[in-house]
Amino acid sequence: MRVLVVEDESGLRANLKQALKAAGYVVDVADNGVDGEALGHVEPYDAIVLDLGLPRRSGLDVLRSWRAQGNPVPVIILTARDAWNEKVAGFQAGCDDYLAKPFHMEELLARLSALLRRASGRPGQEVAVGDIALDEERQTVTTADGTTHALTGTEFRLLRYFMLNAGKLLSKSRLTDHVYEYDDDRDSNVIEVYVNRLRQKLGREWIETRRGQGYIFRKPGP
Amino acid sequence: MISLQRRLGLGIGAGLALVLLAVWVAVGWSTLHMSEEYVASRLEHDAENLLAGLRVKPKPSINAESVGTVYRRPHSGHYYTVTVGDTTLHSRSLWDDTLQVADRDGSYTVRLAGPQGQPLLVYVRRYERDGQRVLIAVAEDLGPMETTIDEFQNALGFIFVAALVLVLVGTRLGIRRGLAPLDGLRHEVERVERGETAQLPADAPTEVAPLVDALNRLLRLTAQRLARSRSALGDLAHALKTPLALIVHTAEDRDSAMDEVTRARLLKEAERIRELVNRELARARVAGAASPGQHFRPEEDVPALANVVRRLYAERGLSITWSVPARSFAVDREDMLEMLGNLLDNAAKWARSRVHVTVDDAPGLHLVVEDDGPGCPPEKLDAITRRGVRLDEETPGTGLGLSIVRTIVSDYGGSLELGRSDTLGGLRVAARFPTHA
Repeated sequence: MRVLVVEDESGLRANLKQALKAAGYVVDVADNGVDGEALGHVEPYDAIVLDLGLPRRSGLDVLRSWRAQGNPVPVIILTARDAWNEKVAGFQAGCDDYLAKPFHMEELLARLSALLRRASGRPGQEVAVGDIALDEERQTVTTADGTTHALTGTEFRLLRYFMLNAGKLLSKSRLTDHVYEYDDDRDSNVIEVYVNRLRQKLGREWIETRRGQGYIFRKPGP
Repeated sequence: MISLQRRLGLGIGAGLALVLLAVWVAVGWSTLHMSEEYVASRLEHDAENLLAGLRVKPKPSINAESVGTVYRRPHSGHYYTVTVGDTTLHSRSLWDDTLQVADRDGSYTVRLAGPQGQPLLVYVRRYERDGQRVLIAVAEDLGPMETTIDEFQNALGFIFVAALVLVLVGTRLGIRRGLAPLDGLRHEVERVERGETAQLPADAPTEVAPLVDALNRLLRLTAQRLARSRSALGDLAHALKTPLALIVHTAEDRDSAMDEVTRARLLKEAERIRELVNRELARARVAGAASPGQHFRPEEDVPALANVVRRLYAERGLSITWSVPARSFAVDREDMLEMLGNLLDNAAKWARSRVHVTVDDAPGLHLVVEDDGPGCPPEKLDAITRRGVRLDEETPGTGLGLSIVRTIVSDYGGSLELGRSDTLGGLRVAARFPTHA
């Protein structure tokens, strides 16, 4: 899951990046409205955390610009401006959730996770496909037979992306986009390695390979 | 209250009445005086004619041709008496009467009652004729002339009174017309008060225009100040809350070298600061009834708020319904959003699945938020609604978070009522505003 954080205060930006990374997200940051807007237009984010009081371009304008371009990316507004008329304006501009500063990091993570689950069309308290359940907090996966497997950071990020996009054909480059950070060494062949590791833990049949196209994660047919 | 109309009316009326009265008296007096002078000069003329027609010897007699025939017609109003020595000659008009006049040197005029009580003006003069003393008294009845003068005086008085009434009515109308723009101005100010317009119209008459300009400047200044203080407070909030978020995150960071007591204290104090900032900000944000601003339109604003609350509590799958009138209210929109937002937020926290918002306008503005949550036990309701209990002093989480709601309601001179919802079974909060919208 790849998340953009647009926040101008450097201390908070660093905290957010660290906490989101620790929660298994791939995080890009921007410290002003113009850069944030450009990144949001270009990069395929799964969610965006957006401050409103941004230098160069206000958060609301940035959000409106994304929506005007038909960009449906889920957006959480994270702002000190928490008057109800501002919340109304935020939702009218097209945000999906609204969190007032100061906030607890757990709440942001919970809201972000819930937002991603809703965006993937599977509401509920946890990420689950078939008998497989992902524990986002512990970053583990529990399979049908009840065994819980620990996941490495990349494995967790990859599996969560698969599970939230279950049934969809995902190309290697798309997976790379959502699993690796912008400036990481993006060798798409590494994806194969991690797909194999996940198959070892879950069973081969969960991830189907479409040669030359990519992978489909889905509940194995009977 | 001083009435300009009465004051101006009294001043003009009394002054004019005095002047007219003086003129009336003067005209009456001088008319009478001039008429008497005229009559007196005619009488003098007649006296000289009498003298010319007078024969002293052998026996005093008057040539009848020397004076007009009026002196021969009985009680004609024209009379004379000529005294020569012991002999007294009368005009025939006098019949048996005489004119009793004093014998003095030279000439004089005197008023006497005539044979039939008519007011007579008598001209008396003493002459010397052939060594004899001759006293001639000629009189004329002033009655008809006085009647004419009286009629003239009456007519004049009537005209004056009519003029006075006309002037007074005219003044009254003039004042009313002159003050009409002020009346219009009052209506415009009331419109500003109701928030229908932000400025007064500039097309006022020259005399009122400076007042309109001054009022408009004041309105602009007030609006500017409100906007400035609101945005300054917003900036302050932003400035304070971000570092506060950092403090909280630092304290929450399990990797930082900090003992649990310090961590807990830091978090507790940070929470206190957060509450204080939020409470004061929310309070400062309230525009209050007197401030012009955007109108509250329940038809647009309630669904927008419901959407916000539904999304904020997306996991709960709440059903928020509303019944609102299709009209706007002259209360500050931000205030109403803040209040309804807090009420909805509170209801959403406690509701099982349903929240209902009712807005109606009979009378004033009436807002009701109901939910199907556990409600509030009666003994606690009593404590909350009891006078002097500050809701914001309650510990967060256990209270109803109605502090800002109460602030807004009291700013508008409204009332707040808590109870059990008849339809949904949970808490029912009703706010009533005495708006004149």
